Amino acid sequence: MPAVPTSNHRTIAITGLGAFCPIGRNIDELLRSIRLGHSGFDIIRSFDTERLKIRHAAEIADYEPLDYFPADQAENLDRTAQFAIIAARQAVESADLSAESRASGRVALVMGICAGGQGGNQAVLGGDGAWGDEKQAQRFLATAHYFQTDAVASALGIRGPGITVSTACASSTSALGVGFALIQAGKADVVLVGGADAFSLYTYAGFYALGAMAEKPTSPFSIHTGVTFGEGAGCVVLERLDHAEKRRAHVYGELLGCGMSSDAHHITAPHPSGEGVHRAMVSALQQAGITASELGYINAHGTGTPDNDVAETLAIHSLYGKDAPIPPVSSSKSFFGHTLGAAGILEFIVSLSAMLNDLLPPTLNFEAPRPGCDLDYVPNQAREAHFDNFISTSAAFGGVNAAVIGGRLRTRPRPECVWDDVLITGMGLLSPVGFGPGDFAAALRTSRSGVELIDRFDCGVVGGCHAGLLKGFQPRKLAPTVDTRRMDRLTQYAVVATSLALRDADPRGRLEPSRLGLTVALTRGPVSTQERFLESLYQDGIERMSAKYFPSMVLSTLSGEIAQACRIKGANLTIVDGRTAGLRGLLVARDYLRQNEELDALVVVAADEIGALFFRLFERLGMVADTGVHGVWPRPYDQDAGGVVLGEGAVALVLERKAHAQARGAQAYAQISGCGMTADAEPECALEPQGHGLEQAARLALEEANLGVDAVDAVYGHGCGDPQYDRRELQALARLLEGRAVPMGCVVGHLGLAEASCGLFSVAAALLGMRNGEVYPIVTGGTLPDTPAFAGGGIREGHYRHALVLGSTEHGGNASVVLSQIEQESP
Amino acid sequence: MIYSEGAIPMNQDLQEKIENRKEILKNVKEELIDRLQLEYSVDDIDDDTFLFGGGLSLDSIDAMDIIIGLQSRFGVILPEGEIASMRTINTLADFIQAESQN
Amino acid sequence: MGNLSKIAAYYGKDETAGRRDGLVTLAVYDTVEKDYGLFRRGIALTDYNYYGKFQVAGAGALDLINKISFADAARVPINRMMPSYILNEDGSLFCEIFIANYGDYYQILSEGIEPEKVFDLLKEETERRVPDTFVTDQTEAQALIGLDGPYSWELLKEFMGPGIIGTRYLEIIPDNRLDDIPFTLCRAGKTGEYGYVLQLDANQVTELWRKLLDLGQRFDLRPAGYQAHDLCRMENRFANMHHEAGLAKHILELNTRVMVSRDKDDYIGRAAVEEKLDNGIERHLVGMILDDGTDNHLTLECGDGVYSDDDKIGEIANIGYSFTLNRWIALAFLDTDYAYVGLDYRFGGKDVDLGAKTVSAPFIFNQSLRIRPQEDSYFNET
Repeated sequence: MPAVPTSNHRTIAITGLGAFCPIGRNIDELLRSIRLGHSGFDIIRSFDTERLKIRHAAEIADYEPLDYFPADQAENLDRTAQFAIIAARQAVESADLSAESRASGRVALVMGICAGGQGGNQAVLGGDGAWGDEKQAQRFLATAHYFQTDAVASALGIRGPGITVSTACASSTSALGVGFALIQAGKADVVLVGGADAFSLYTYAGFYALGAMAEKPTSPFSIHTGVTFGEGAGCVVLERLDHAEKRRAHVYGELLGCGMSSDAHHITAPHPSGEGVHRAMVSALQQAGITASELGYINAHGTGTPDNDVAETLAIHSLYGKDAPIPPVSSSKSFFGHTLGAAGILEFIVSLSAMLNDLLPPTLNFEAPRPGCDLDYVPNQAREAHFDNFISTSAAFGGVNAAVIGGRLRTRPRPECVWDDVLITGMGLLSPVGFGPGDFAAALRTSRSGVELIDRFDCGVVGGCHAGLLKGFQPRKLAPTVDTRRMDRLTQYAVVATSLALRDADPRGRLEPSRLGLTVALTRGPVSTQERFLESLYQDGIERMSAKYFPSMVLSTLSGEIAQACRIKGANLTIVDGRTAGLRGLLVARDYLRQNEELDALVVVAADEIGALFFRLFERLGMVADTGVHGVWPRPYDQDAGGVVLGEGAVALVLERKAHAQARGAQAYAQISGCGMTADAEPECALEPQGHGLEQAARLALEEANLGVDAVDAVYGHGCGDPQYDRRELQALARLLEGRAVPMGCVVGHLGLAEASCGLFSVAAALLGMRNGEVYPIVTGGTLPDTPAFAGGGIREGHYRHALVLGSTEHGGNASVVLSQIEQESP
Repeated sequence: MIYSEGAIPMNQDLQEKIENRKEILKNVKEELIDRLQLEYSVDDIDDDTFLFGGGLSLDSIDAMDIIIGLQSRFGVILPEGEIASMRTINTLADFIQAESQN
Repeated sequence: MGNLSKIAAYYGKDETAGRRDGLVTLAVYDTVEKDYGLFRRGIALTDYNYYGKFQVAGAGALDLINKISFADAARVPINRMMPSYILNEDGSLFCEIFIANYGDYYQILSEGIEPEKVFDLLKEETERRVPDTFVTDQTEAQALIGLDGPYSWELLKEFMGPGIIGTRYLEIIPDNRLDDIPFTLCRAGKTGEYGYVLQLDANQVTELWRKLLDLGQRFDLRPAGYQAHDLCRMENRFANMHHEAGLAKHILELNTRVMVSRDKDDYIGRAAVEEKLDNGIERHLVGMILDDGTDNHLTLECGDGVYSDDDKIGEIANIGYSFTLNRWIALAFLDTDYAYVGLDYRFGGKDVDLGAKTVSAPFIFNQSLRIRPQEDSYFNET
């Protein structure tokens, strides 16, 4: 049973490493290439670039899936997932982490994925936008970021919390921070932190249109500007030191600290003075409890673009001031290009391995420094040097920055940090039944459904299709200070919801931006942008397509837009997951905020957008209910439902550290008193049909809240008309509640299934219910099972002190939260 | 007309020049509205409206789109460093007129 | 009569040195050309104390401001400023304003009319229509000075840190200090170069002025007067109440169409604005460059006519000599039918007959556009 953490951070050891990339198929090969200065660039092989200006990339040459996987997996697993699994296997082996240990629920998995799977490269839509080939449809669906993580969890049987971080170029750097926080929060003893991305046509096309790529392989900090891309995967095993020592694991080094920040400046260009990167570095140093002078090496983001390299140099100068000596800096992207999701972790691994071998990795292809770049970039040749600590930085589109510090294992104790409880002090809602908590609650009370006929696009079904759509959405009226002109629909939803939530929590705008963080939770991401991007790519070709869709395809851009519009400059994270992603985002955010006193508050926002691309995909795969047969309304928990009815919208919640909220007299909705996360990790990412993992997640949440099951006054679930999924949830609940007649609510009937947001719509309903003394009746077009739990019929009034919200993704990623009313302090 | 009494009609040459210019200005405005998803109509945009800074308050990503739009709709190529032509609607129109004369 | 600016007092000047909006302040420090050179090539230190400064607070603050402002103040985010105008009922200009949002309260900065008149208007509107509002006149209590020029950011970097180079146009950064002098910084300027406004307690303005001159010595920082500033504004087509904007009959003559908000509630001058939106304006402001070879001592005046052949089609609203173009330039209100760029017209007046061409805004190319603060410096100008 995990101990509740107190005030000291624990030492986090690194006990395993794995890498699979263009300059090495394992750690030894990787190190050898670094030492000898062998880069991995060559002419692009995976598609034809003969007429194009940019011909190079660092691909993993002659990769043969059958060397690593049996035939069916080699065929069905996306290239990105394959790389991720290979690296994870190496890491697990090097850490000697047994299968039992991995299945214990105390080993977690955090992956950084940026572009996602690569199977979409072959996606061909029919002229009418229809998905002819079911296999192709499946393959496209499997390109989702979280599919890659789930594939790793499934392949390695990892049953602890599973999290996919997608902050573009900073994904696996941020993932290290998330892994660090998980262990400190006592949610895991060991975390596999990885990153992966296969070389992607879309990334290439997008950057081609932006004119950001180099005509020869990239030479960061040197006179020729431009980025070159690569692919690969890396993985490290983080482990609490006492746990590692107990099982006599080999300790490679220590993860000392992580820092994250947001420029809130521009969606593609970094803050010109590197101000955001600087703050992330300072934050990492603070967490690590060391000073900048103790760093022996800086592994820069170093993409080679004119904006990045100068800004980063300025950030480093700011860190050291006028007189202090600056350690050597180099960019590993000069070896294997920009590996996107894998960049953070591979660069961390390069730094760690080099340090352990008394080596400074060089920056290759270096001719002469470009204007504004005046540091020691270790040009072209690796050098011998002994150092004990290093920092690795990443900066992503949208101005999202992350920095991690690694070093040799040290004996001195970690700095203290102040933990605090987390309250929810603000809510912003955009739902198919109304905008804002007032309208939302009123609709729930009157059992109104927001499902209607889709007129936004032709769904290809005779008689039309239905979904829960936002109506009368006018961003300018709801958030007049935000210029939403160039924002796609999803971004508008997320920005407006965040703006509303912050206004709810803090009408005078007093929250300090650099102490305000952001966590975005998504499932499909920006659907209409993906449609337009693909259309533009296939119609105009790489040479003539517009640059404007690509930035919005990158998920960190969305978080950057929110940060800019709402003035959020603290840690900025994007979590991607399947159904109920918002719930996972909430839990990750809460555990992060509890232990990070450099933040006062953090906004969690989940958003979904209904668009033709995915609607028709789901429809083709038989996931959507046929309204002709089953009727218009969603039928949660009805075994004859025949599929889901989709929904869209956005929910934002302001999380705040209790002392800060109380000091400023904020009115809180509730306290987050416990969270639990588990993963089924079944073969082929199937759902474990009895829902044991979901039950366990709920039990972990209650345990952390120090409550027995009998203290639960209300439960919110996510029945959605997917029979296996719904049945599983009911079974888990039946075992958990042991026949107690606890009122149960579910808002999917009112809203449709908004894949990411539904997790937070439930939380919102639970919070409003607690505030108003209500559990809202379930709306359904079908019948509810006899389980006594359901709040069918009318509003159940009562005193609801503790509410439990639980949900799973389609792959069995389980999450649960306990919300508790706040004790009124006597004046 | 508030200055002349309208007694003397505009000379032919001048009239042609103005009509030609009006046409280009209208096309430029339409292209910007369309490509950059501006919330304005053609009449809402004065000829001397600034593109960056104040006025339309566009940014560097819009700038790239404008370059594409000029090529696509007017067949002219505006090199990326040519900021002088991207100050106002009028300067864009100047550039297009100058290029079409060559 | 006339208030004396603390800066003018510091230089021992009286009202013969210049006056703007009722405040005695220097029109020129060195020569117009030398002052101008600071704005265009170096850094100029400017006295902006002629601005009216008003704090508007309370639940009705936004409502009050929107009742007097032409543009929609609801769109200003916290820590941002927005340019706007206060109109007269007939659609002509009462004054220019900036509206700044500080979260807890708004601030209005006015130019083009004596501050007392603006305060009177604000008080009147508050009493009449928006009782839940508190307006404070900060004109005397607060001071405004400016740093404008292609390298102004570099001087600010010295005491504000490198982060200043990322400040967006019209962004406000509160809570700064130079030694023991607190000030608010806003990136705002009307010259087309990098420009910043520092707002602080009026009691410390002379001290800050001196400190800036000191720190700015290696940048050749010197003060510049409003005459050179007006010239820069003209070259970059920032409407100026002291010149052509004061002669406008209607706001829409001044290329302000994009500032109009048709879904705002009522504001002073709305009916006049809507009328011209529906029926069209009759004349439009256009820039003109005089043909080369003209005499330095020009006898053209505002109000002189602009002609196409023998037809009078407009009148001059502003004239100046551009030291960058080395030509005389003008702004004229022209009949809408003639108000296009690239055309040859003539100016006429007493003993005058000069050719001029209509040109696009802006008149000049600003050096600041070629500067990347992350790489460039005053000290290695190429």
